[in-house]
Amino acid sequence: MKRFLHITLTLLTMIAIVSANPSLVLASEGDDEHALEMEVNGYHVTLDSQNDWKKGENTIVVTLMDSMGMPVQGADVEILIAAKSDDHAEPEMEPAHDAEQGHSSMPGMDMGEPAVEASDMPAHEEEATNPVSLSESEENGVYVIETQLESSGAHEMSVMFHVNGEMLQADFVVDILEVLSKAIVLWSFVAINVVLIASAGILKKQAIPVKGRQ
Amino acid sequence: MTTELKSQNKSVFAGGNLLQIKVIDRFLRSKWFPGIIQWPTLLIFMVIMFQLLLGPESAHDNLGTALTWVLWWPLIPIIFLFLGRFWCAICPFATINDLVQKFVGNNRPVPRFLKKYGIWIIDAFFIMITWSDHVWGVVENPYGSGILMLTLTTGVIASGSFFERRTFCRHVCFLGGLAGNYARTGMLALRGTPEICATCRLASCYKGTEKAPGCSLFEFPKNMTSNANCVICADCIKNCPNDSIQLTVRPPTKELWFIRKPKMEEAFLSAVIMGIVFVQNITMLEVWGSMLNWLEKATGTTNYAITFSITFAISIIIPVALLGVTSWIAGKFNKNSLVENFTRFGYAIIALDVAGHIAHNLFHLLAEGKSIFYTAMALFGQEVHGASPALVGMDTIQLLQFGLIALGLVGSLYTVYRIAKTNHSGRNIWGTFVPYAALIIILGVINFYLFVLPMAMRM
Repeated sequence: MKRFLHITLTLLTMIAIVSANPSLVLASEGDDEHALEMEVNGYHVTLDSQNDWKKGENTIVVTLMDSMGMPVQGADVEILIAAKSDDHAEPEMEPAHDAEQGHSSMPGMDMGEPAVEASDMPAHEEEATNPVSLSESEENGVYVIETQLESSGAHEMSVMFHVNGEMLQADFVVDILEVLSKAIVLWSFVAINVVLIASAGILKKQAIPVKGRQ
Repeated sequence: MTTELKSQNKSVFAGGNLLQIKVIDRFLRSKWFPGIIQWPTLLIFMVIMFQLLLGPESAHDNLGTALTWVLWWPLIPIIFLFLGRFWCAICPFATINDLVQKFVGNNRPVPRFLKKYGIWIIDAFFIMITWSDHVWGVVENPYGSGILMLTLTTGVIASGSFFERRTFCRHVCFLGGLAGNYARTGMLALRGTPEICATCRLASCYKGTEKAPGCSLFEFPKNMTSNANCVICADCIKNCPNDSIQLTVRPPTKELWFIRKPKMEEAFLSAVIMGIVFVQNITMLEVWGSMLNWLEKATGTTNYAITFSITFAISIIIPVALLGVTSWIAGKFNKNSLVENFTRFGYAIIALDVAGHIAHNLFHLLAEGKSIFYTAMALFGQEVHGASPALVGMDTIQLLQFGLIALGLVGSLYTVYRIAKTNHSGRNIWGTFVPYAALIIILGVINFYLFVLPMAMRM
């Protein structure tokens, strides 16, 4: 009994740990394994997804703190997302200001004003070719947007924020996880069940008959 | 208890046999029963599965979600209360089990570890499924609900393919474990007539005949003292050549008063269910967001899996620990060990569990009930926008919730009294009753408080 309880508790703990710490992202040090963090001109920028950076719908959360660790309120925060190409650095959706200013992909570079201002994008966005504005949440210093990440693999995400008249940018690389398609999952279940039934059918002759069962 | 039933000619309201009523007797003995309810249920289940897996991605628009979590899930504890485990007789998973078994079943004996640890496994599954629902959003996500159903389907197919009868339902199904506990409060009891069964050497009820299979949940009506594993499928009624089987109406919770062989794992499950009712309520409260923020600050992480796991563990530990402490205090009076008291009196919580469960789900059924109609209309291209899904107002729901908790409280308190009276004598009865009564009142007050606070919707 005790052994069984021990095994059950160990299994539950392991499941909890695995679930709590999926290594989906090229994350920096921090409490949350999904979150990426960076210092830009004394500002602490955290980039996170409530959906564990999986392909498909993601709620992206940007947290801004100043050098004193106080949340930065009322900032204009935008994000530009582009799938990172393996053979060359050209993103599939390049923002206009990058092209004009020869944007460096080094993290934490200060940027001038972007050539393309944030448009009045709806809160629910598809993967953007232009920077899109994040809306400030009820929590101080936290900015969010719902977006659709259409492809898996490495993505460049540039968080741009205006503070005290200057625009700062933090560039992150995020690995978007491929989510198993519905078809694969459903067919896997079908396959498992077919194998079970077929195996049972083959073994049936050796089974112990139970009187009365039809 | 087998001695509870002896009433061939009594009125059904006085504990007489329901099979005295010809319509009921004929219906239960009919070859169409329970198939006439079982097969339509399977058809509806297939529609639900199709909707969950391939229908609208938003729970709000999905008929499968509405039928499963707004209609079926709230109704199921009510069914357990009035009809015992009858749902299990018509459950689509059980039908799939029987179907697979009929064609390819190997009918191997139940593995020994399942017999030995079955209820602990059910306890673990119940905790895991509730946990994963919160962390991965199974209820809010139709596809997630569909995957849960598919996993259960795979379980019953595996069980039906290789093992005899309804091994899965008896030893693995988490809902079966819940149903077993709740059915003890149920108002229907099926038993053999002791005088007739005493002379019977056939055991057709257990083994089966050409009329019907043997008991699918491995019960032997001759020795039955509990309805925890009786699904009222009526196979034993059809099989018994001596018409020994009786189906009677009894007061709710009566079975809990006379548990002959109390089991630690069942008592533990009853305390766990109370914790789960707490956590289901807490996470639906509007203050849950603030609580989560506080927890995130306290733990230094925003990872929901971690913060929820902490909340979940605390919610489950509280009733288990309270029952443990109470059992220890009661032991000072009745001289029984903590484990003995825990095992015996844990069953008393079940009445409050059922009440809390029904009360919680009543909110979904009554505040979101029309969503079943709206999502069904949407299936035929008739969209309904902006209409309230509520069947009745929140005041009415809250009143019903309080009424249910009050009934559960009375049921649990009376059960404590009866268990104390059955097992102890003289001053020990009250020395045992008072600590457990205090525990039941504390749990009842927590439930009352949780239902006072405003809740968020499921659809």
